[in-house]
Amino acid sequence: MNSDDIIKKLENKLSSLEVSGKAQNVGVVETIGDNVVVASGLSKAQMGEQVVFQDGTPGLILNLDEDSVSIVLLDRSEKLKEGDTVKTTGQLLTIKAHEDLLGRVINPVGKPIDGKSELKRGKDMPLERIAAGVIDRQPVDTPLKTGVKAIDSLIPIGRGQRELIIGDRGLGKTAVAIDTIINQKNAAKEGGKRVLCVYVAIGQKQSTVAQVVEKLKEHDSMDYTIVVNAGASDPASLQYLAPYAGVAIAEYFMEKGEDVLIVYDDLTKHAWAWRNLSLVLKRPAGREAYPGDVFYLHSRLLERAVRLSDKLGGGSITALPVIETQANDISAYIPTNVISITDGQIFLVSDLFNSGIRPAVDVGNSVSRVGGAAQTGAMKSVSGRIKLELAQYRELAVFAQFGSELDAATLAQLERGKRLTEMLKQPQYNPLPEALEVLSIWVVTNGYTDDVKVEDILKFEKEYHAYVKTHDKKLLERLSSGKKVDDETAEQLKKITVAFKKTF
Amino acid sequence: MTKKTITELVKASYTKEILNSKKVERIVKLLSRSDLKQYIRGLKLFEKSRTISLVLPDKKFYNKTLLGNIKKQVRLIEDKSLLLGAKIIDNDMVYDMSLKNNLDTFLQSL
Repeated sequence: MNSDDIIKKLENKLSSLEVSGKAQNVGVVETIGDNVVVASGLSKAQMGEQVVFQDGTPGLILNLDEDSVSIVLLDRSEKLKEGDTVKTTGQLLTIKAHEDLLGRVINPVGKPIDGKSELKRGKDMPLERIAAGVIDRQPVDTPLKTGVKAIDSLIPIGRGQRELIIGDRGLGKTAVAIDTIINQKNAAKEGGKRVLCVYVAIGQKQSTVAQVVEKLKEHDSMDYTIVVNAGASDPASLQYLAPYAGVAIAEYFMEKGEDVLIVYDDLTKHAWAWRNLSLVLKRPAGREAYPGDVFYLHSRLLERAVRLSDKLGGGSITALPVIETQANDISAYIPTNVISITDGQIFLVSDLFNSGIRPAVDVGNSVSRVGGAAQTGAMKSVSGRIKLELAQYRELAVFAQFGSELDAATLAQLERGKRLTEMLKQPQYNPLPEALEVLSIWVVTNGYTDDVKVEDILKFEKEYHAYVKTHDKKLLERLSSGKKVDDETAEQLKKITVAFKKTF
Repeated sequence: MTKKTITELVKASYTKEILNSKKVERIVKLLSRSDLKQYIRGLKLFEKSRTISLVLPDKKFYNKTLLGNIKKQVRLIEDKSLLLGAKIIDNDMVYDMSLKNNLDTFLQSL
């Protein structure tokens, strides 16, 4: 490019530039404390508007009083002092969303925190937005496979659903969410529509988030995942904004017709951050010192999980919020709130976890309110029996504790239940494709493992999968297609199982 | 003391739209420390609302017709960095019509 070209380009830019006077609303910092600034002036400020301080620190207006406004800082600032000016921007808080974000770790205002380059291009997506209405939605009918046998068979999740993962600390809530993200690699391989993932870490230790990112990289899952992180040492304002930033990014992809999975890990800490902010903003405190709008805080967030109508591109956002309970108490304030907002919950219990049943899903208290409609024919045809058999086993197991003499039928049912429970165990970071899940469940519910020792069940499963993979790929393909297990398929299953058992 | 009372005291501190030092001295003696803070803040805000600051690159550019027929007091400020044009500060609104602002906008667009 020669000098004439450069000058011509500049002239063109100058001719198209609209240069006119600028009107700005300017206020003065009155007090600063606990990351909240009270400023006078700013008479034209709007609720939720972004502001910029004299030293360039961004802020967000959260309170409008008669002659002052309360602003939360969106970054750390040590230079800010009383008397500094603050300007309104006329813009509500947005985050730049683009395909370039895939594989990146960012903070809730869009700044990269993975040491890689700054993200400059992208569409400005508002953090606060009214969720899609009734007309814009369509029912949940496509499965979102987690790769976890216990969940896909008993508590199926559909694309566009909100399924809560709830339990005490250290029971594998994050593990279930991470397994689901890892399994989306299988979903794309199986020929289905790909699922992009957004993992929102709220108030977590940086080391924990680093481990999650490392695990995702290890399983080649960062290529389709974005991590939004507001760590424990970040200001409460950023922790409060993190899930909204995550869902804004998810909405960008959803509007392009993509299916997105978003994990909020966890909303208990999100509620704490909002409680901190509300108390500093001097809003009236309610139960457990949470502000009155703590329900709305989560309902407006989770309502943004949606399956859009085909007219709007048919994209979806599936939300997996995580809630941490204390001593398995799901009747506490925040857990009950989120349970009532979501379309079901996966309840993890410490008793099961300690007795070696992992994932420690409490099947009795877990439910999926809309996912059943999204289950594939293959899974539906085998999961019906598993529910019944597990329920009967649990009932009988309670009675069996009191008596020693049991009839043969009851004993058989108890033995079947033990094997079923054993088969539902699954190691971490090892999600299974649906065809293998169906195989595992079918083989137990049809009694082919009744003569296998309980402790050998997992070994049996592993070898059985390997055998079918090498001897009958067509059968696996048929099961992967999601079609119902008909008589012909059942016959094939029987044949190969009998053949395998001769080798085991 | 309520906000309303403080506002009334601020208004009462003026005689014919000029701040009366004798009245202010009398009021100040009656106020507690926290009320005094509010009172001073009120006075500052009231003064700000009655004044328009006109920022020019050179005071010689000032022309009485520049702001039309306004009732507010005009405070003239010289700021050579504006290069050309003017900046008007009315209470918490800033209207920037200077060459510096235009050049900054152009730079940002590049």
